[in-house]
Amino acid sequence: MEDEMNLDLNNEKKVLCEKIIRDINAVFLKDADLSSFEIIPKETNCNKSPVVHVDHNLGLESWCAQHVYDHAHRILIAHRKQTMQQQLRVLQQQQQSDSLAKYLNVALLINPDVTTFWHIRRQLVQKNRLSINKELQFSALVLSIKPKSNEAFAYRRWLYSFQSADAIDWPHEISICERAADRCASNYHAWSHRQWVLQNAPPCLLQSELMRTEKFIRKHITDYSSYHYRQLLLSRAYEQCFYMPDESQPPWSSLRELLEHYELAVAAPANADCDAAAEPLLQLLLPNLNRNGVSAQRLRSFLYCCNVAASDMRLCAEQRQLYGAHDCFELHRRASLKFIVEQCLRLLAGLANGPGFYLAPNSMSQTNELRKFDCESYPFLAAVRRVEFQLGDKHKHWCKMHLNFANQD
Amino acid sequence: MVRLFTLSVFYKGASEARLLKTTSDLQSFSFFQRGTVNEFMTFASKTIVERTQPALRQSVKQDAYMCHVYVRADNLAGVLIADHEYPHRVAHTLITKILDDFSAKVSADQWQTGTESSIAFDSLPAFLVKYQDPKEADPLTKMQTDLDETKIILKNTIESVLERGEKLEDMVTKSEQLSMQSKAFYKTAKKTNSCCSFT
Repeated sequence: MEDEMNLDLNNEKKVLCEKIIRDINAVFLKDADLSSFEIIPKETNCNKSPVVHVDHNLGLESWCAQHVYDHAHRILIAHRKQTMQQQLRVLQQQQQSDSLAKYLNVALLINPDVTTFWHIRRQLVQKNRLSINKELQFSALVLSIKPKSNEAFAYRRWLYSFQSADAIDWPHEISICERAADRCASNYHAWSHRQWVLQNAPPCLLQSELMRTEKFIRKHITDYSSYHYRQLLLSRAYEQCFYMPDESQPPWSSLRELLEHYELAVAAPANADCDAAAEPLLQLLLPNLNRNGVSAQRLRSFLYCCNVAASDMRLCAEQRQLYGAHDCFELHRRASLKFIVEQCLRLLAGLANGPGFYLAPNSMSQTNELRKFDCESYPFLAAVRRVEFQLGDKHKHWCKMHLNFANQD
Repeated sequence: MVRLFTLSVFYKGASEARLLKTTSDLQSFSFFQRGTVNEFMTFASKTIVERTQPALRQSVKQDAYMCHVYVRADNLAGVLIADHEYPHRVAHTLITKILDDFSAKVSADQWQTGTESSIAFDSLPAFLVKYQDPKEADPLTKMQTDLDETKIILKNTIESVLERGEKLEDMVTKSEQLSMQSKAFYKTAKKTNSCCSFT
């Protein structure tokens, strides 16, 4: 008797779960622009559908989430066992995979951490049972509920491996990363994904990235992940010889200001021409540079990137004044300074054609080459050394370690 | 993150605080949470005003949020809810500025009986947008040099503002401003330790 009642109850629950999953699937079919999914805390069943759909946002009431998940989980696992044990006929498989999608959607939205389910999706994509565009949309939806889902980011990269680079909407990918990073501080997976975008997207993305990341670090002052990404971005820009005419008046004002800070005066140029203004700066940063081995493009990019780094150093100082001391400001200032000094050293030592800033460590011979380098004969490096050494012992130690000022005490 | 969530102006009456004007920016919360979060922020603002003595400034920390309040000697009160990275000094400067503007535009006889709809003061939303970037407040901080940061009382939880014997949970249950839905939300969120505000 009791068993029978349990059976009835189980059946009822099953029917209810099926209905909820159908409702969610109906929303998926109806709304191609779903932008977020979330679980709405609500403990009791009020005899209304727990599936809420407002303005492209989908919500599921919490009281049923566990039951629905259990149900979907059971069906998916059963299916997996079945396909592994026996080779189903192709037709049967196809019919199954169509109905499978709706269970996969629900299960992954409620619990995005199950690799097996993502794997089933991959198999379905490979059999052409799921469309790539829909899948991109679905993984973005998962990121709306779990911005730190590595599975979702990895799935996106996998999906893009079937598309050619020019067909990919890179700015859209960036905005997905940005949304995820905004929702969750120190979102390692989002920033890693953004690095992947940076490595694969065409260089025209660099300009907007430089602007966007500055805006981001101004808002998320203690999220060092974003600063770190910006450092990588700058070295990537330098590597690609990226250059934009500087629009400040007079040109290169950030760099000029930095030099003033180091008590090195550069006369302001008579006219506002970017290239004319560049020459005295290059003379000061890289005196007696042998220009035969260095392209004009490289030098222009050098000046541009150093100017960005100098403006970051100023930004850090400003932020510190407004928000008080934070490690992030100090660390990013150091990284920016290191960028400038290291690129100067490389050019002066004739190593500029070597690998990028962060990408590979110096080889032994390069390091030895740099060791022999005497900073005192270069006014800029000597001034940096003098001024930075005054900022406390800890900082002095850092300078010795990282700015190649070690052996010149 | 540096973010402003709500700005509101209250009149602190003898028995309870009266909401005169409020505005909020809750874009950073997920869609279905916004209504509840809004109710809770208003609830918290009102509660804190009621428990702050006139001519006093307080900054009350609760989870990831910071609730800054200033009740003037004439019982006009301003509340600003931000995250904890928003500079306190700027927050209090901003409240002073808002209350100055408010009392210049709305005469004191309306404060005791006014409601959100009867009071003509529409600059809060513009304030909220402009001062999302605290740098915008630079000129203000230079003008109001008399703001003494050491006089702002810092509290670590909303419960430390409550009077002896009061419990936040009971207040939530009793409150008439919070909808049934929000109360349920509060209970569930408390249980699952999710990210709802003021829990």
